[in-house]
Amino acid sequence: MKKLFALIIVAFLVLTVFVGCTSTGTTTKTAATTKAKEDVTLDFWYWEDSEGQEKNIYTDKWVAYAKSKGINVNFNGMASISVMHEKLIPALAAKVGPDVLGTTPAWIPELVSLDALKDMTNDMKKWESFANNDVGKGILELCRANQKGYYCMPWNVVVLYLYCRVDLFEAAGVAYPETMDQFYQACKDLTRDTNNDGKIDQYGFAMRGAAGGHTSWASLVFNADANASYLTADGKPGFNTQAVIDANQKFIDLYKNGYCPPSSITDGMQGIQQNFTTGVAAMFPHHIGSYNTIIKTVGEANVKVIAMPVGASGNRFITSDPATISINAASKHLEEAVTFMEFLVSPDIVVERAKSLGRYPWQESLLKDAYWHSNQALDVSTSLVGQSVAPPVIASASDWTNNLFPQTLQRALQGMITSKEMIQILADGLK
Amino acid sequence: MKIFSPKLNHFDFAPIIMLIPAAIILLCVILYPILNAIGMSFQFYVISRWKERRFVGLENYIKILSDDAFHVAIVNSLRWVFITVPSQFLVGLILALLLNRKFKGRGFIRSICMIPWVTSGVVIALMWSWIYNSNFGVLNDILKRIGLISTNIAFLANHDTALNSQIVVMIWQGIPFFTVMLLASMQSIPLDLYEAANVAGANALQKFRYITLPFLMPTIFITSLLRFIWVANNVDIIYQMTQGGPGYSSLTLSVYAYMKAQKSMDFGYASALAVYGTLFMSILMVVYIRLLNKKEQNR
Repeated sequence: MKKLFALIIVAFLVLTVFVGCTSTGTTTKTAATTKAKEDVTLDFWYWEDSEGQEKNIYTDKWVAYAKSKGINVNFNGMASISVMHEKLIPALAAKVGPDVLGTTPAWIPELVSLDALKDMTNDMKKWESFANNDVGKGILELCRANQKGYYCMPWNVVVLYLYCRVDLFEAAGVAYPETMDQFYQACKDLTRDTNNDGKIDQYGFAMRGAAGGHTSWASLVFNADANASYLTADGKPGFNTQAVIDANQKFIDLYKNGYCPPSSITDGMQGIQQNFTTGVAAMFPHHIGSYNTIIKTVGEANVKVIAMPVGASGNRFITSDPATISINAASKHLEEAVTFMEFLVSPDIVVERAKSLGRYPWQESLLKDAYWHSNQALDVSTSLVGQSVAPPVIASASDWTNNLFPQTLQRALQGMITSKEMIQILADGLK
Repeated sequence: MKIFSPKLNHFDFAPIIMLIPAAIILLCVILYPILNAIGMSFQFYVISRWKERRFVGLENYIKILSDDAFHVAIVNSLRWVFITVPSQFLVGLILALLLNRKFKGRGFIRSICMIPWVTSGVVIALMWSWIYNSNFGVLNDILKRIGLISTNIAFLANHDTALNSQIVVMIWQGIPFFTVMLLASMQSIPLDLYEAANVAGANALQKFRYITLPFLMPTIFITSLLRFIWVANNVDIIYQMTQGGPGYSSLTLSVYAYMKAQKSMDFGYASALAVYGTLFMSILMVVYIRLLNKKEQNR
């Protein structure tokens, strides 16, 4: 009898394990369906570049706008673009994840291959800026990301330039570089022993050796060849030329000759910004998103913003970092997601966000405002945005920028591979 | 409860049936993921190219053998494990011997010794990254003040020092585990053995060698085995501090497999790396266990 009782209890426990594993989804689905009729809550994922300020921009305006439409939004800011990518891919592959998501054109081929994004071609046509031809064809092509339709809407862009420490340049008697030869010379002249203790304590250039350094690298290397690009029109790597290899060697020599802080090889954004604001490095590459922070720390009078130098080709190679908005194809609230997305890309919100966080709108009519020339960072960015080049738009782009590029650059900086080998590895990684 | 009960004269299923729920959970949580990972290692499986997912046999395993990063990771893994664990053990043993003595504030000292162990790996990595910082790190400052160096060292940016710097962090983190385990074991040693040794005129070293150490051997064996496995599988310290860089200089097999899965989204390749790592560790553990068993038999 006791044994029979024990057997019944065990059988019951086993049964509850299986029932517990299968019942949850149904319960949640039912609750969600019921909830959908009464109120809709969207999940919005984006990467937080601005110290938690992103969601503050929308909140009041969005609450007022959404109230009448019965939509709530959970704003989920990820620590960085690479963290967002790491979390996003598994979520979308599992057909879960956010309803609305910040993206970048480089991710689109990858996300489309997962069938993760809603085709927004029809939504794009209804977008007033599109209908008014207010967005450049180049930008629309970028958003199309080599796909048949549009899977993202343009949101904003930032353009890479060079920050210079006015005080360090003046103390060294160095002029702001216009060309690459002047840039290399400036790096050398700005690498100094400032306190006469026999040791170098100031360096010319804060090189970014960690993930994210590909944009500044391309800006300082691709300008050696007028035809250099990440990818050619037929999708092949466009930078495996002798001119680029030679320019890359000079870039590597900046570190080997000691014109960059020793930590450069593994420095990310925080490291290079810190080197600049503390006076360890006289120049560092970034964009308008950091301008407010930089001038708050160093003082506006001590900061000079200049365009990336002109290379041996006679041209600059200006890299940009575009951000776009997409909708999860698996979202249970597609209509509401489109409504929210339209809000995010509306001219008023784009301008407010751009002004608050240091970004650039895509819409050409918005750029005519005098505001976009009201400080040196805006002025330089506005003058460069039309000629800027976005990172490659292929399925392996994220792996290339986050893993292959930093590892390969670090190996070259340590002398483990030559400049030619580095360029070959990077070119092979984009095939 | 005996399964075969002569009195009842039949096979008693009750204990086995009682264990079924636990066995099911273990199978689901441990065995299924392992088999799934082994299965993935024979596939081309990149999440962002999931439509191209297909069986490729041993292709991943063969590709790995010609991967430079893998070769470096193997050597780094050996250094990582065989420097870290013995160092943790030695320092842990010394601390345990000290804490086994009676002195004022012993309880407080025992508590603060646990701090490295209870702190999360991410916090430790961030803290030590700042200590090692080449511009403002406290370590460079101290070394310069005592005259050991004249210019700052970029500990984590130099391929000669990156892995060794992180080994120091791992040693620091794991010392309390050995200290606590060995201390507990020491406290179970009968005191009359030491009294007898005193009467026999044994000195401290002889007491340690002939009384303390033999009693500690089972604990040393099991703690070392556990630490070898945990240290080999550790990802968070290296991932947070250098992500295996600069280049591959601080890349271990576990970190490489993690990065291949999480960053490159190449689950097939990452699973094959993990299988290699498991085989590698299994061989080391078998050799370790056999050597220790041999030593035990010879005694």
